[in-house]
Amino acid sequence: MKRVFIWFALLNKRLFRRVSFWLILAAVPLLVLSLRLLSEQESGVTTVALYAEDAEDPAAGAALDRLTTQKSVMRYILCDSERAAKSLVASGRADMAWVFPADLSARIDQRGGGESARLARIYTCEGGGILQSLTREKLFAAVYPELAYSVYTHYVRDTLRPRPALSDAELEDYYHSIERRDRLIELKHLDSSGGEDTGYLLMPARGLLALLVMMAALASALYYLHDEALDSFVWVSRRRRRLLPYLCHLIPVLDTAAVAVVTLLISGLGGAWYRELALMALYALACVGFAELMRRLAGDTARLGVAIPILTLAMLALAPIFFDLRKWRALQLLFPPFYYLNGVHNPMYFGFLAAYTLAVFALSCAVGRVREHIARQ
Amino acid sequence: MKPRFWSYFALQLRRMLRQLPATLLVTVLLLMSAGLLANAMLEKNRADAPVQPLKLGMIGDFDNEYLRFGLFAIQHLDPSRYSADILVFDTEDEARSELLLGRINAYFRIPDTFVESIQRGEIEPIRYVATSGSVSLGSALTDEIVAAVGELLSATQDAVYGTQHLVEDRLPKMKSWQAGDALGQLYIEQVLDRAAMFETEILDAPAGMDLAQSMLCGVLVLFLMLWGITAGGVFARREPELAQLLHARGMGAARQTAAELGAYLALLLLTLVLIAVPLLIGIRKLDLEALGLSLRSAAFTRLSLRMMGAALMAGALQFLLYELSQGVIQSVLLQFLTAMALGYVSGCLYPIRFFPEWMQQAAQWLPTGCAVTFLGAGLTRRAAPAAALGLALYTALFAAAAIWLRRRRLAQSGG
Repeated sequence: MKRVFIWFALLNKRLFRRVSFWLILAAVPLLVLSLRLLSEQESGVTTVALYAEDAEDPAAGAALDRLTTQKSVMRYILCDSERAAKSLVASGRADMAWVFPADLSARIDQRGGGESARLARIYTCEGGGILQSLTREKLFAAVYPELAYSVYTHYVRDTLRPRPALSDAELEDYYHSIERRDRLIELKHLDSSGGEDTGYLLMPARGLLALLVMMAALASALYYLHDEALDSFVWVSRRRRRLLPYLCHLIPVLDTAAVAVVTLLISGLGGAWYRELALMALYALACVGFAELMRRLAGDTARLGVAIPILTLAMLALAPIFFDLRKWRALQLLFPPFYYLNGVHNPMYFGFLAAYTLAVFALSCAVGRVREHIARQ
Repeated sequence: MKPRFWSYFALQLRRMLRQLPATLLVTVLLLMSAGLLANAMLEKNRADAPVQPLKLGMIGDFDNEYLRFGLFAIQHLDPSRYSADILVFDTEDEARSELLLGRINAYFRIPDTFVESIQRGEIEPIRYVATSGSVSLGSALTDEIVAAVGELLSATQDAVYGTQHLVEDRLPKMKSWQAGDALGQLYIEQVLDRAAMFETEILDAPAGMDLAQSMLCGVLVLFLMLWGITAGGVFARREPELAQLLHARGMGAARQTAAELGAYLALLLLTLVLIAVPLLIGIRKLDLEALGLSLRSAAFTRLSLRMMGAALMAGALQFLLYELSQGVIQSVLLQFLTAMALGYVSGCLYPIRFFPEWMQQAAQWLPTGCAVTFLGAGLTRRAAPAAALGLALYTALFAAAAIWLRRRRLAQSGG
């Protein structure tokens, strides 16, 4: 046991004696915290220019208020004129413009009474697509409360016609006769926790931290190949040399994993600290196994060196960091970040990650034995 | 004997060229991975692609006529049927495993007593369960829409209950539930007719890069930035004693660095040329329909030439990073961290328009931002002199910084 600690200390020493390693580790939480600050600023996946021809119109004012005060992944820009709104779209600074007519309240009242009326003009450069459809639902939701009330008042006054007729105040009292406290739709993730309140700009941070840990493992594999070429560990017994690469990879991986966990916790991205620790520890082991497998398959620094950027870009595309490529599921299953990122909210993936770790260690041992056998021959 | 610059440059070039076959292979594979990434991004972001409907599961008591009608309306009448495919499951376990397997985006669990609870004026919430793990943009927007739908339902509920209470108080001869049902029907008609509430005008597309072009350029810049990791194996075997020996023999830091950097850039440019030329020769039109644009040979030529310019900057930056970090692990981590940090805020991973306005302006001044703008100008047939100047200045700056670092190291080691 004492020897393990000595090895641990010595291997760590050769990393930490370089100032650059300290700087890299220190930069990680700073970068993520900067990203957090960035995500709290005004931004959006879609930018909508808004203009109301008559801002005093109650319905238009309420719609604008609803859109601009609610927290959203969409960004809204209030414009002084329809021309300004259109020019934002034409110049590409906005994806679409929503213009509310001067008589919006009257038009809503018309619709409430069963007549047709246009409630807004939409200007856009793009014709369709999921994003367009989804953002239109937001526009509808912005005017719906007034429309719902108008339908109700028309139904009561024109169809039911209670006598004596109800005043506006009485109508409103009946409309608000139920005190609603709960939401009708609850958002959940698979482990029944509530919805995450993470800005979309910050969402990929966890995935990028996971990739960083993986990079540390792959870089360590490269370093070990360099050490092997220099016969740095020739004095280590053959039996121990089989385990030595794993220990060598574990050091930088644990260092970066520790920084990753701390970063997740201080940036507010992390959940319960014990779950983050457990998941990251298992992920670190998976990265060690994966890196060692890659090292044994590649065999020399040149081949592994060229493989690393391919693996990096492949994992960037395949791991659910920015998007989830479901149709490439078979490829996704090959890489540790897929299990780690899915394991954040789904306990089942903790088991899958454990199984993957065992498999990748077994495979690396098998490849090592085969290479030894070939080398002896 | 004083070592000559060109002899040293030739030595470094030979060393780099030994990597050429492997480097070519990795560059091709990197480009394919970049293509996969770009394709994936564009599939998620294209506005004019065939609509990729969301797949949503539903679990509930669909023997109930109200729920059955609601399901029918969503599946056959409502405009949202073009945005979402609704799949009905018998149990939540079924839906959950489909969600885990990625076959559906999310599911709704409607409580069995939902309709009865509404009629009693109580709320038994519908549970919307989304995919786990990393939350994507699509799911963030969907979550927001679902929350908005929840508010719509609540407003409708207020009206229906209000009407029922009103009927109970003022129209005792009438059945309150009938009034509530009739009003509910009116709301359904309004919801189904919502597309007709808005007038849409399509404007001409703005000048400059469209989304597909900017993402293509972003991914190409990211590819250039990550390419530097390829040289990790080469730079891992550098011997600092050689630099000291050369210095002692009269070859200063500037000439050493220039020779090594020149050889590195030569390898990078040669690799790009060897890939670009076969693609260009005999190709009249490069069909990149899957990426949302049709790239003709003239545009491809312009893009390739500009890639060389961007590659010079990226190569100089990577060389500087290798000078900064002594040690393989530090080098690779620094290359990765720099590529990701700069690439992320320059719009190489998320479209730049997703960022705050000030960040969009600032990104144009970053090395990667200049590179994206410079590449994009090739596609849109614009000059982009500021971006070109930025790239040139950054290349010179990184080279100068690398020389300064080498000089400092030699001075510290007593060379």
